[in-house]
Amino acid sequence: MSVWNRDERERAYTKLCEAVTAASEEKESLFLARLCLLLMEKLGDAEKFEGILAQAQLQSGKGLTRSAQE
Amino acid sequence: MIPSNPRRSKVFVVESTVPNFVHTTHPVTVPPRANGREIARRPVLIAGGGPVGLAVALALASRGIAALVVEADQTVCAGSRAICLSRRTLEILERLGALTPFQEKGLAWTGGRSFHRSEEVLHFTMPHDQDQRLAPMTNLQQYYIEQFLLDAAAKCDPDLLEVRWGTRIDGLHQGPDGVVVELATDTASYATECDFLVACDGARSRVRQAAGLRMNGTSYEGRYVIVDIEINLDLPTERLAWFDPPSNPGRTMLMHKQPDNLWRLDYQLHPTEDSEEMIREDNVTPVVNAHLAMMGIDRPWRLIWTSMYRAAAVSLDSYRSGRVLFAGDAAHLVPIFGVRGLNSGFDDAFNLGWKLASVIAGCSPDPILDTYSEERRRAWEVNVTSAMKSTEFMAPPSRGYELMRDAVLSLAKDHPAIATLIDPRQSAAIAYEGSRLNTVTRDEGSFKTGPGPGSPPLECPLIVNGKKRYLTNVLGSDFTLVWSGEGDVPSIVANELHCAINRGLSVVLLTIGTATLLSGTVGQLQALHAQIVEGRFIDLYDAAPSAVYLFRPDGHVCARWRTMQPGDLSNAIDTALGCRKAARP
Repeated sequence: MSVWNRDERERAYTKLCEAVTAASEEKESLFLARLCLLLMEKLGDAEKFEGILAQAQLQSGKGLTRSAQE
Repeated sequence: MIPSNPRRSKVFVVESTVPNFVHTTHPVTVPPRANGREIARRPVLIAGGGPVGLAVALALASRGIAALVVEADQTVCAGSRAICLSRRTLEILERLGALTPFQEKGLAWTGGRSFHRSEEVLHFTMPHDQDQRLAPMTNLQQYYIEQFLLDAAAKCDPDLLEVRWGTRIDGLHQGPDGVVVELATDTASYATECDFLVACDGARSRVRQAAGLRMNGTSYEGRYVIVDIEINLDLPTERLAWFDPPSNPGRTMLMHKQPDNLWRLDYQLHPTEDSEEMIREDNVTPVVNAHLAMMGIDRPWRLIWTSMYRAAAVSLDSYRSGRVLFAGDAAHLVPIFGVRGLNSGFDDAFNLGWKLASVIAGCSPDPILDTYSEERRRAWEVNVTSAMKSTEFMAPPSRGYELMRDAVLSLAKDHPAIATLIDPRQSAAIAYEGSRLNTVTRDEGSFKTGPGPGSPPLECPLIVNGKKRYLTNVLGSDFTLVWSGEGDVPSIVANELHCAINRGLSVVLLTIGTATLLSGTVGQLQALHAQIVEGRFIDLYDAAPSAVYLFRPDGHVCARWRTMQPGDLSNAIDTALGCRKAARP
């Protein structure tokens, strides 16, 4: 479904990585929250947004939370 | 501040032997001398008998230029170092007359898989379709790479190629007519003279130090332990990567299969771990055991070799300093991810070989050697851009890269577009766009696709004399003109080809499809006619309704036309040989 090419995606990704680093660790959550709000407004589609929100939600044992036995 | 040896500063050899391979110790020889100086003088002295130095020597020998290779060690390299050969490297090895053993012994592969924790998140394949004949990647230990090149060198006329073992370089002096190089063995010191010195003596190049030159760029903090083990596993050859595996939480692990049941494991050290401690057998063993156990492997294994690696993207500003030229790790380093180190060294050797031979033979003026540096330094910049992307993912340089990488890994399985960010961009041949050896013709704008000026040859199947061949194995040693279109090749083109031959160049004329060469114009031309396979040449080279491509000695495109006018071909050949200022429309 992506309309951009691989190089464009990689460049955007690198800018995002740099921006998170630049935000500093204490403020990175705020930076990412602001970014999400801006992207949400740009998307402007409640149904799509809810689908994306569900996809981004972390499930136990998956994603970023390391379980105790690991 | 760049450490003088950013890569592999510590090597820990566990076993002195590797499976199936015997390291021959070559005798040290000292040549006849007069007043402390070697009597014989060769046009080229090559410092370093590793893969790049031997490739330069073979490239020169194939053109009748004599070279002496001096190597400080008395054997090929001990540990396994570089292990991945790209498709472009195989093309170069073929042109150097050395390909067959590489294909017989090496393990070809086309893709790989990446895991996050215990979940597969990416299965990638490299471009490998019906147009190709050589594998995109081939794994082979460096000691085999060096041995097979030595075997090819042994078939050359000994007057054209001598490898002198156990001989180190102690100093050099450049004069207007040549370079005087101080050589030393354990028992003798003497000087030798040459027209050109090619430094292929690796990351810690003595020639570079003697010339007072430094490489500049970026060194990365992330450190990797590189381990070779011997273990018999029935697994395919592919690139395997694990991010944060349950066996070694927080580490990134890479695994590659090599011939003779050798496996390469690379893993990142935590910032608090000590490099020298961590390459010791007692610290490597638990990491490897845990990893193998996670893969469900319960077989005996033997540690062969470990070392520490830190990624560096550094280069000399110029790969030429008067009569001294630098190639391979002596000139530049790239991070290992994507295997651009040795592969770019082979490209250096192949680029330099024909230019140096052309200058020595009097076909090119000296400044063509500057284009070696310009083209290959630009290639290093492209290589570094790609290698940095891989490095930033494999060894995140800051918090932002680390957090975003973890997010990518957690989404990759269900989102193929996001998974492409994990895909390791592997080494690919680089175009010399903008090189002053290129001719940008009046027709260039009419080509929408196909390899433009400076591009490496694009592989294409052809039928020649009823046999299936490929474009990259019909290219001639000097220039190749590929003529595709209807009717006869104009006699003016044939005349200009003969002019080139009369200058001592070898020229191959390949007519394609319905194009024909008038029989009276053949003369000394190596004329080949090819039939098109399923329209592939037309598609790949944007050759409808007609196209003419000129390939230079290393196979890169130097000009293309739709139709040719008198003088076009001679001008393009002169430009590619550095004999005129590049003509720009």
